[in-house]
Amino acid sequence: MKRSFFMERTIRTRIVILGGGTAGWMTAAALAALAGPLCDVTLVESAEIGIVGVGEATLPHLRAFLARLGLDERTFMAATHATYKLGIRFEDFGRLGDRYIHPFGSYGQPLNDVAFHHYWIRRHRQGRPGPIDAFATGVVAAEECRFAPPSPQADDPTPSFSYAYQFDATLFAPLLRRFACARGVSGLEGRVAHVERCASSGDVRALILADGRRLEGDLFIDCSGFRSLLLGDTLAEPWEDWSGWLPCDRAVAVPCASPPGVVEPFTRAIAMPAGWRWRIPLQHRVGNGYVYSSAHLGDEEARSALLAALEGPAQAEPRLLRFRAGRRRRSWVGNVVAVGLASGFLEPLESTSIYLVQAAITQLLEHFPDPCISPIDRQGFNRAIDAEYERIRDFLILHYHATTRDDTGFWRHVRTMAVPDSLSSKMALWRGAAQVERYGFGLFLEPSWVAVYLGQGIVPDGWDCRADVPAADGLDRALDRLAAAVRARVAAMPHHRPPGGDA
Amino acid sequence: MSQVRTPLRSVAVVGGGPVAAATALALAGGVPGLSVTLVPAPVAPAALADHWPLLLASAHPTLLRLGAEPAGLIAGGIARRRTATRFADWGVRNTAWRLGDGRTVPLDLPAEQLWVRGTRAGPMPPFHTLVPAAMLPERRAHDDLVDPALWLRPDVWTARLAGTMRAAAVRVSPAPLANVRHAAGSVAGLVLANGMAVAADLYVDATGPDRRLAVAGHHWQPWADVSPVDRLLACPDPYAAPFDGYRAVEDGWLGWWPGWRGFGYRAALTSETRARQLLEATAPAIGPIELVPGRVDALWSGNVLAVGDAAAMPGPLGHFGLTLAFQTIELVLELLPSAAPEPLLQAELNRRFALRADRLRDFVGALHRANGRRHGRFWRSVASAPLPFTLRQTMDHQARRGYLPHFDEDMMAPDAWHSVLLGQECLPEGDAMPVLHVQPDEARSRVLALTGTGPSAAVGAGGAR
Repeated sequence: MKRSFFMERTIRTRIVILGGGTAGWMTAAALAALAGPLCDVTLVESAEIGIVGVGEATLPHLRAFLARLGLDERTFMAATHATYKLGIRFEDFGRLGDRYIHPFGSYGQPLNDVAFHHYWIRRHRQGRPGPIDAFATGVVAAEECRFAPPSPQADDPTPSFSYAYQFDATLFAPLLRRFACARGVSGLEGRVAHVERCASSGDVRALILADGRRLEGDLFIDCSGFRSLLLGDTLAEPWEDWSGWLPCDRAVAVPCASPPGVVEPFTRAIAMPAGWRWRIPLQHRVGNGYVYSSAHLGDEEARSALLAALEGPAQAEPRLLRFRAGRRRRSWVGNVVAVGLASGFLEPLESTSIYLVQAAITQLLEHFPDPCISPIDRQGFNRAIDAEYERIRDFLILHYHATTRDDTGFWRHVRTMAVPDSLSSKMALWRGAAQVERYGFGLFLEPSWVAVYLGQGIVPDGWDCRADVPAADGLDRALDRLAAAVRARVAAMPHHRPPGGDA
Repeated sequence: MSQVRTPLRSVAVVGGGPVAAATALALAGGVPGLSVTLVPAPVAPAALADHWPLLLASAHPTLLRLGAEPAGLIAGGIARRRTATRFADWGVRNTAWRLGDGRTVPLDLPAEQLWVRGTRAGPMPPFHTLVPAAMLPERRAHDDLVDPALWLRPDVWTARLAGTMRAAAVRVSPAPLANVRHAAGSVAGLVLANGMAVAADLYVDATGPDRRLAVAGHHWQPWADVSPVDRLLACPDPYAAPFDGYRAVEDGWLGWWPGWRGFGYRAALTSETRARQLLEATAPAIGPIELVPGRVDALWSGNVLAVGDAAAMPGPLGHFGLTLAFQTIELVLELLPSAAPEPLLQAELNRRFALRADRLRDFVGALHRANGRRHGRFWRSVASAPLPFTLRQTMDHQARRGYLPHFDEDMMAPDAWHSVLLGQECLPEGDAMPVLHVQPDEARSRVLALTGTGPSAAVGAGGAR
């Protein structure tokens, strides 16, 4: 039998994480909890460099991450002032005055092999009033500010739903830091002055800090944020620019006091003249930000527009962030793996930033590197991350492109721009036959695409012909019954009240 | 307002075996108002899905569309259960290994990773001892981990389907197909032997490898590199075990299926005379049947949809053809075509079918050559052919740490992939993350306790007979 050099391995992989933001500490915590005996993890961060920390809204996947680490939900929510999140409410995207919720969950149930939305589209086209929202438990619960964790019952006819959190990202990193350091990660304060590389392989050998300390490692994880100090600056991995499709390149962010009343269990994304504005309710405050295109709006105007929209007094000076949509062509090059913003950026319209960090960590653990890295591991990692980025990219572009808005230069641009072929064929398939291109790996499966297509007014002209078979009145009665069951299930839920919150 | 799509009004399914009948029935039952005509046409012996109908459990839900369910078919003598496939003299060390029709025992850690970890400490029982279905009938198993496949008796089943078709108002043409009128990448109409014409919105080609309705888009992509058998010689055999068997020999493999013994080989390497000697037929043999494993470029081209061996032929090893055919039927019902041409819907259907067929091709490739048997000219020729990129990728990743990369539309479960690769002793060079904290000795004793076997059972896998 072939014996591998690391079967009884005594050499521990030396991992150096550069950057102490959400990405850095999530990576450190996961490595400490799940790969503790295999590696020595050092994280270097600098207080001089602030953290972006705008990723305040999350996707349900974060729950699996916390569970894997053994972090209790209540502890996490109390520490980060978190609230429950059932989805995102998009306002004024398809046209001014429109709004819809993209929930974590599905619409209705399939009937006779045919997905629910075909029946709804048929009756909608035939004049039946009311949005598809009434058939998604998550949407109805969100609109009524009610929440209870899903507890599937066998005979429950109502569609399933899931949930995520809205939380203070600046408190998440410290929580993870305590967690990671208690499990052997050493955290260092320092600024990188120089990156030492191997002359023959080009791999990074060590980070030299400004005070002269030298951090040697086998694997370097670049969590340096937009700066991409290792993957971008040092290894010069080419940048793939997506700003032609996603023109927003700035954000101004400010928290404000919570308005009175029940805390909304959803994030709001409100379309603005040159971009969109987020509203993320936490237990103790509301996070706000205006994501805009600097080609269409000045920083000062963006700042004023954001401040004018606040529902309570601002709790800080508005902070300006600059970014560009796109990614490094590969996320793992040589012995450098970039996690988070150092590998790429997609605006927070669908709360994907932390998800992308998590996806990279999951893949890193699956391809957990030995002191000597195999190209197979790199290739497997990069293949998985490619699929994630491209699918999310198309989904985000859809939010801008699927609009009839003609009121500003920004919206005219995104409405009329050429989109990637991969997206235009998806949209045409939907328009013609109400079918969603199928993939089984990655984010945003059929219900998500249905939510955004219908929410932004792309109602197909054709649908599955089998949905035309049931008589209209019988179908309507069944739809009414389902909507009533959804309402009843939601009515049995309490009003949204995060643990530790006093809403 | 009504919709822009015109419902499919009529379909003509051409073929003469279970694949054609099942397609006609599933369409008639699944699409209200659709008029379905079955146009008889003989299917050649090389239509393996029709003549050797085996259905993996994943395709059993489609049986319900045909008014049948596994228990009833077994009780009626139409089907029999298969719980495993046993391979002998396989791979580089003449290994005996099994592929169970079922799941691996659930543990708190992935069983395959724990097994691999245990191999670092000493000899282990074969991986299939962790798959209860593979240990039947010698060792009784928990039923919930066994998902038996079904072998159907083609003649009886075809007769049964004919009866169901009458009840389901599938019209059967009074005369068989004589001619196909083609027009610009499509079929313009069918002419029957009695001179009658049949026209439909959509034509389904279930004529097996003859592909009598093939249009320009149905160009054939051969899979000879990964599914190398191009001749099958078979003879009746009293074989009646609840598992299939394959034994590698220098010129190819001998296979045992209920009532049959077969020999798969390559015409360029082995003469028919030699093949007959190796088969040791005691009764008149059928064949040699000429096979061209592969798939069509586009499942649905013009107004013609292919299904069964007309769409893809995975080859005789494992007899996966009917399962793929049933999955194709489900795909067609999911993305139901309309009467008018719809290029994008067509592209989506073709894309998903191609992913599915190619992934099955990879699985058949892994069965043939995952652990490189080199002795014998057949196996040398197999080992020297290039691997498709996706199979290479799977094997590289498995070899690295035991993980399997994800592929959409894979009809074989990860458990089956693990069985095939670990069964042939493709041992990962390193261990997977979740089991690294388990000492190899401990992993080994956990597996040994679980399988109730000592290492002495390691060679007890048995051959085909």
